[in-house]
Amino acid sequence: MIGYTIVGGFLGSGKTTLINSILANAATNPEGGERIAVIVNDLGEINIDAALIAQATDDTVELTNGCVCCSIGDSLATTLRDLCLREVPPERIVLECSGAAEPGPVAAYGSRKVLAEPTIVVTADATDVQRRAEDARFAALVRAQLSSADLIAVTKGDLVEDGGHGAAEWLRKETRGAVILGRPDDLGAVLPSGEPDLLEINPGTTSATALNVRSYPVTGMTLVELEQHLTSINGLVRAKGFGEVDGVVSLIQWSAGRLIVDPWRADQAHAPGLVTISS
Amino acid sequence: MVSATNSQLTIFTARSVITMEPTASPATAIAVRDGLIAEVGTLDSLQPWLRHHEHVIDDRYADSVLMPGLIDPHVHPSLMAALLATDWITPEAWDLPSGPIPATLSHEDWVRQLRGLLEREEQSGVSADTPLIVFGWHEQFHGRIDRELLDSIESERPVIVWQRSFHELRCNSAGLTFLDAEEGAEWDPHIELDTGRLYESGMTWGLNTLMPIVLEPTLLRKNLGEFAALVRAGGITTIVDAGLGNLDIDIELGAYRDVLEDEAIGFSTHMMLSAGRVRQKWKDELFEIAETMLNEQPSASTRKRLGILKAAKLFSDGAFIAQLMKVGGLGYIDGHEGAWMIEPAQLLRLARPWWERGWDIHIHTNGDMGVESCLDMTRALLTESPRFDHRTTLHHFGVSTTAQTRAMGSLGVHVSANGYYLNLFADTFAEQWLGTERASEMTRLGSVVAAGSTASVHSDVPMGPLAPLLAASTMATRRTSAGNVRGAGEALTPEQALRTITIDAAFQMRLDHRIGSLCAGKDADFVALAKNPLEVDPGDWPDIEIVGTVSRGIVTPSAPAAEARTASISAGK
Repeated sequence: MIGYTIVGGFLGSGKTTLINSILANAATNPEGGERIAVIVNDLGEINIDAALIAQATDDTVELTNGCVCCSIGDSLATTLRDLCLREVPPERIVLECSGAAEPGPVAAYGSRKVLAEPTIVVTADATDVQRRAEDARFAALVRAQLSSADLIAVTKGDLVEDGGHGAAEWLRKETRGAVILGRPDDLGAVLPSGEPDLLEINPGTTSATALNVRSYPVTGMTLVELEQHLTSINGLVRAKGFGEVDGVVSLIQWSAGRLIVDPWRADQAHAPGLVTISS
Repeated sequence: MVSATNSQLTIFTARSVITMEPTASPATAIAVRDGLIAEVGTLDSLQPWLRHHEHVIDDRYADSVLMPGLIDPHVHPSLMAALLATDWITPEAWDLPSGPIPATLSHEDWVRQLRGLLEREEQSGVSADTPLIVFGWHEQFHGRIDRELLDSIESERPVIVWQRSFHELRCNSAGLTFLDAEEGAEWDPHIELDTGRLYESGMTWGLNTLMPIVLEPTLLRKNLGEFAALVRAGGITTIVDAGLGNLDIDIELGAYRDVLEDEAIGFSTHMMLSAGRVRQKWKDELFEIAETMLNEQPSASTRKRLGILKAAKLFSDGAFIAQLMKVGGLGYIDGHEGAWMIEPAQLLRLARPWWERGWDIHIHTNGDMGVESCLDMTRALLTESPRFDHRTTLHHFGVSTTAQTRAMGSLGVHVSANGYYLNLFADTFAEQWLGTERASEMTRLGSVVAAGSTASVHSDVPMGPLAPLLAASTMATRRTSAGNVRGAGEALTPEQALRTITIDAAFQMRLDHRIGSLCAGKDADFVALAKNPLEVDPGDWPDIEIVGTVSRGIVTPSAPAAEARTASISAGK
C-alpha cells in the first residue's frame, strides 16, 4: 500500500510553506528515506533547489532521489492513478488541498486497493484561527477543515504573545486531531514520515499540552555535548535534522531515547538545522 | 475624381435604417465600398458621394429595415460544434442545420425520443459498437434517467446521456464500459456505477474518452460550418468566443482558422483567452505568446475574420442552472451552498498580471457573492494600478443587488447578461431556489443601465440559442417562457434593449469604433429585418423575420429554409 497524507488548511495558514518544507526534506532524504510524490495546486509556488531536480516538465518535477512533485492538473483521480501506476510507484503521496477545499471529501479519491487511508494534516494560523472559526463568512469551511484533521499543525505561534499555546489548547478542546505547534518551515522534518509517532503520542488524550516543534542550527558541538543537550530537553519525543557534530556535517536522528549521528557527504544538499518535537 | 483603384460604391436601400447613432438623421440608404460604410443617409443626402463615384443601387432590402449587424458577445463555438456531433433531446426547440429539434418536456416523451433515435440509427446501419451520445437531458423536465432505465431501453449499444448543463453523464451498462467507468469509479468518488452516473470530477474522466470523439478534426470542421449557419440565421455579424482554450486551444484555433477565417463566412469572430487554461498551458511564456497573438486583428482592410481581443476571461462563482452560484443574504431556500470556481483571493491574484499589462478583464459570475468578489477585485486593482476606461465586464449576472449595480456605475464595471436565464428559469428558481423577489430580479439590467454602466446580452451558446432578438426582447419585456412578467422595474426600454445586442456589446469588447452602429467609416455590417423593432411590441421581436445579413459589405448567401427560421426557445410555451 502507498501511504497517503492530505494537507489542508485555510488560506494563509502556512500550507504551502509546509509543503515546501516537506519537499525540501524529501529531496534531502538519506538513502532509505521515503520516496514521496507531492501533488500541489500550483507548481509555481513550489521552491525546489535546482541542484536536486533531475528532470522537469510543465506539470511534473522529478527529483534526483526518486521523489516527484506534480500539479493536480485537470483531474485528481487521474493524477493519483498515474502516480500509483508508475513503473516505480512512490511509497507515499502527499496531496495539497486548496485553501477553499474541505479535505474530507478529497479523501474519497484514489483506489483503496493501492492507496492507504489518508492521514489528514491541517494547518491552523495561531493568530486568527479562532476568529475565522467564529466569522460567519468562513466558519463553516474552517470548522469542516479542522474537524476532518487527524493532525493539526498550529503555525505562526511566534507572532502571538502566548506562543500559540492558547490556539493549540482551544483546538485540542474543539477537534479530534492531535495538535502540534511549530513553524511550517520546520514541520517538513517530522511530516509526513513522523506521522505515526505523532499520532501515537496524541497529546489530545495523553498530554496536557500540544507537541512543540522547534528548529535551530547545530554548529561546533561534540557528540557528547549534543547528547547532553538533547537529554536536557523536557519531554523530547523525537529529533531529526542536520548539524555539524565533531566538525562533520551529519544527519542527526533521535528517537525513543536513542541518538544516531551519521556523517553526511559534504557535496550533498541538506535541510538546515535540527528539528525537535517535545511535549 | 474617381480613383482607378477604387471599386464602385454599392448603395443598399431600405424602408428605414436604425443606425443606433444617437444624433443621426432618419435614413433609408447605406453607401458601402470595400467593406466600409461611406455614408448613411438618403439617396438625396448621399448625392455628394454619388456624383463623384460610380455606384450601383442594391435594392434587395428595399422593403426591409436595416440595423447594425447583431453582436453576440459570449458564445462557445468549439463546444457548440462538439455538441453538434451528438444527438439532441432537449427541453427547448432548436432549429439546427440538420433539422428542427422539438421541445421534449416530459419523461415519457424523452424515452420515446431516445427509442426513436436508436431505431432510426439501427435501420441506417450504425453498428452496435458505436456509442450513442445524447445531449440535453434536464431532470427538471425529463425526470430521472439512470443505468437501469437505459439498460431497459438499450442493452447492447453504449448509450451516454449528456446533461443539458454539461455537468453530468448518465450511461447504460455498455456506456459505462465504453468510458472505462469501472476503473474510474475506483479512483473517483463522483463515478457511481449502480446509477450509471458520472458527475463533477467524474465528468472529466468521461470526457477523456468523449472529447476525442466529438472533437475529431474532420467532424469538428463540418460542425463548425453548421454552427456558422446558426450564427447567420440569428442575424449576427460578430461573435465573441468567451474562453478560447477551454477545450484545447490548438485544436480550437486550428479548426477556427480552417472554417471561420473565410471572408465569405458572413461574420467575424473575436476571441478572449481562457486565462486559467492558457496560463496552465503556456506557463512563463504566457504573455509572450498571448501578446504575439494580438498582432493580427480582423478588420475590413486586413480581410481577416478571426482575432484575439486584448481581454482575459476569468471565473468567479459556479454555474447558474446547476444552482452552484454563490448567493449571499440567507442563501438558497433549501440551504445548500454554491461553490467558487475561483475563490476571491485567487481571482485577484490571477487577474493582476493581465490588468497590469493592460488587458481587459471579463469574469463569469452568477450570484451576488460572486459579483462582490469581482467588485472587490476591481477595487483592489484600481487602487494598486489605476487604469482609466478599463471596461471590466461581468458575464451572465444571475443574482445581484442594487448596492452592487450602484458600485458598478462608479467603478466603471459593465455587464453582459445571459439573455435566457429569466426566460427559461425565473419561474422554477422562484419556486425552488431563490424565492420570488430574487428570482424576479435576476439579470437586473434596468439598474445596471440606470447606474451608468453599459449592458449587453448573450446566448452563451450552447447554453442558449443564437437568437439575440429573443434575448433583447426578454430584457425589455421581463417575460418568462410561461408568460409571467417578472421584475418589471428592471425592464429596459426598447432602445436600451437594442443597444444590448449592438453598440453596447461592441463597446464592452472595444469594437465600437468598428461595429455596433451604422455611420461613415465603420464596417458595413448590418442585418435586414422584415419589421422595424421600434415600431412593434418588444414581445414580438423574436418573431421578426431575419431577411439577411451583410458583413463587411458582403451579402451572405440567402439562407436555406431551416436557417431562415429564427431559432426559438419555447419550453413551456
